[in-house]
Amino acid sequence: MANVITNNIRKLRFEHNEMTQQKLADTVSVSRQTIVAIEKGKYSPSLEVAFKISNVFAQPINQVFFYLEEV
Amino acid sequence: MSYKESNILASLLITLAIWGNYTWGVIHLYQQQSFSTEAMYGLLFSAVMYTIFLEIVLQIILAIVKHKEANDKSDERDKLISMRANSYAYQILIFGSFCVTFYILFPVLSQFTFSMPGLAKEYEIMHLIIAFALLAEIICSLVKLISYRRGY
Repeated sequence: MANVITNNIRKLRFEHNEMTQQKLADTVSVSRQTIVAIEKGKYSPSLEVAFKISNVFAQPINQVFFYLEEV
Repeated sequence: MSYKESNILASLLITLAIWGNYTWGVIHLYQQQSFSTEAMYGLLFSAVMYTIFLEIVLQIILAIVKHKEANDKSDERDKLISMRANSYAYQILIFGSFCVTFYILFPVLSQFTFSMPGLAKEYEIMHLIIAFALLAEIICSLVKLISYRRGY
């Protein structure tokens, strides 16, 4: 059984005037590579960064990140 | 490939090339029976100087080629990957320190290891320490590269 955290950051970026990964990275104080890794589901960010990203898109955290339990 | 990945990969290649050359030099000296403290110091000194020089050149080249990312600070993912890599390297160094301790405590072990007759025991121990430090460095770099590629 594997637990996976997914997100819809990519979709939200495009809905926010096609925000670039670099712009989002600068806003939440991480590198662009980290945003790329988060979007691809290769890295689960800390709660602090997850909240910062949610705040950028003015969405509750559970509308940006999703916890899936794979059976 | 990002700036950090390029940096790690290039540093790993430099380490492998220079210390591989050092190992080859030590073996060559031993085979020619021309092993001396001066010759070994020469090899060791040149390996350290080449490492410093090539690392400086590498940093300059990478800073020019990937100037946009060169000034990026480490973020939480970089720190996690670094911690993970260092924990592997630490375990290898601990294992190495046990091996060296047993090698000193039980001289009989030298019959079954890389012992080079005619070479002073302290140089065998020194090379054992260098070998484990090198192995730890290589594993550290590989874990970082894999973590950046596959995700963490």
